[in-house]
Amino acid sequence: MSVRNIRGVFLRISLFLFAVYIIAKITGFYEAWVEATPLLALIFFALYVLTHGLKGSLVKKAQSLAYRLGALLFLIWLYMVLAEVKYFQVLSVAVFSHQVFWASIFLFGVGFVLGALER
Amino acid sequence: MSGSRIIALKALIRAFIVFIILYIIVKLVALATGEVLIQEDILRYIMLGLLFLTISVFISFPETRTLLYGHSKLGDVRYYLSQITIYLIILALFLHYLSKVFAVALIDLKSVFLIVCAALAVVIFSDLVVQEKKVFGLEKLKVVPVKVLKAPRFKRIRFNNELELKLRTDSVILVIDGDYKGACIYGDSYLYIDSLFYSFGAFPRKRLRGFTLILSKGLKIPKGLEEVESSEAESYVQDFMEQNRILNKILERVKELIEEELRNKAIVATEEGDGIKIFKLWRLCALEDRSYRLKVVNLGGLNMSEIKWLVALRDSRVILLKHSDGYMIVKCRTGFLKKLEKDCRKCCDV
Repeated sequence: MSVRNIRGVFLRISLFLFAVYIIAKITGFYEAWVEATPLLALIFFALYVLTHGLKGSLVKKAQSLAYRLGALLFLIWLYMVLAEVKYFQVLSVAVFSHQVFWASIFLFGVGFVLGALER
Repeated sequence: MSGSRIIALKALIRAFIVFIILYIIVKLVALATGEVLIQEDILRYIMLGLLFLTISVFISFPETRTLLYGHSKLGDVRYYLSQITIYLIILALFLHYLSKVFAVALIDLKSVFLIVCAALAVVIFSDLVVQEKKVFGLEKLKVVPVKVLKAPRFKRIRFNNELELKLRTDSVILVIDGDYKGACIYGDSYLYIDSLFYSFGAFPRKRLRGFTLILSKGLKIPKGLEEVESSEAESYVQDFMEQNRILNKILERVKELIEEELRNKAIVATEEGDGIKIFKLWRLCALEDRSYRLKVVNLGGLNMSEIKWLVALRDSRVILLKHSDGYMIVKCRTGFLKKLEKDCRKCCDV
């Protein structure tokens, strides 16, 4: 499966999840998991945007993706710090700002190491 | 056909605007005087219903339908399922309103939710799972003339559900059979195509002068037409053979052009399996062969394989064809064949 196809799948999943949320609102159906669908949809949409223009070998693609994801998480952490948001609640899981920060650092590290493998 | 849809779309958009204005007025009055003119919920539900109806009409336009779903069997299924989903959503809106305002639960809303979600999942993901295999169709057309008939003006010739020709002058019809059924019309005629592409400007106008070649899966010739004398018929047969040769050359060149672009990894991709080749041409992609001034535009569908029907003018200056998943327009200059043969001779000499 090429990157283009995978991107297509991400976009479709994102669209579907948004649609599920809207339909739930329209039909008046409510269960706790429905509230998580917009966030999941956003994540898949972010993946769709982040996988744009990935080129090269598999390692190169993975490296590029790790850097991009790291940058996104870093931006989210920056927003959380500036807006004084302590944590995000996804269903019963709370994601704290410092966890987001370390995740972004970890992803930058992964990208860095993969770069060494590429050479 | 599209005219009524355009009117419906305009009416729905205007109705939607009216309800938005009404909603704003109700809100302002409530803010200013505290008086509730009408329940806001009703307006909200009506607005949502109108929005979905507008979407339904919008996707039913042939152009939109072709761009979104293509013309394969799966595309048709996805289109009809989308329409059903939209009407289910409107129904769900109504039921939700009833349950909210009057506390009347006619049916379980969870089941409606699950059905709509399942239908949407099929619409969004089905073409990833089910991939239709088709036989490739840009091969040489093997067709032979069967008989030559004289037809008075104003006669109608029906080809399939989409194509109809009305003769404008006294004409000669050369009936064709083989891979496709069809006709060569020698005389002016009006072409009626129950589909999208007049808006894309495939042909300069509906009236086609002098010569039209139509190949299709079916053909209904009016009864009681006289056959042309054999000596005269021979000249029409000769002319058709020449026209068919030009058409085949152009189709061959179009195929080469697509394959050249494939090598350049430009705008097209291909899938091969079990000896079947399917070109994937991006929607609205345009290919151009400058040396022969040949332009190819793919409208709509992605999977270019079988040709459903084809309409061509003399010397194949303009070809309009419907393939398995959409439409394609091919335009080339007059004298294509002469230039091609001249270039071919040059290559052979070298």
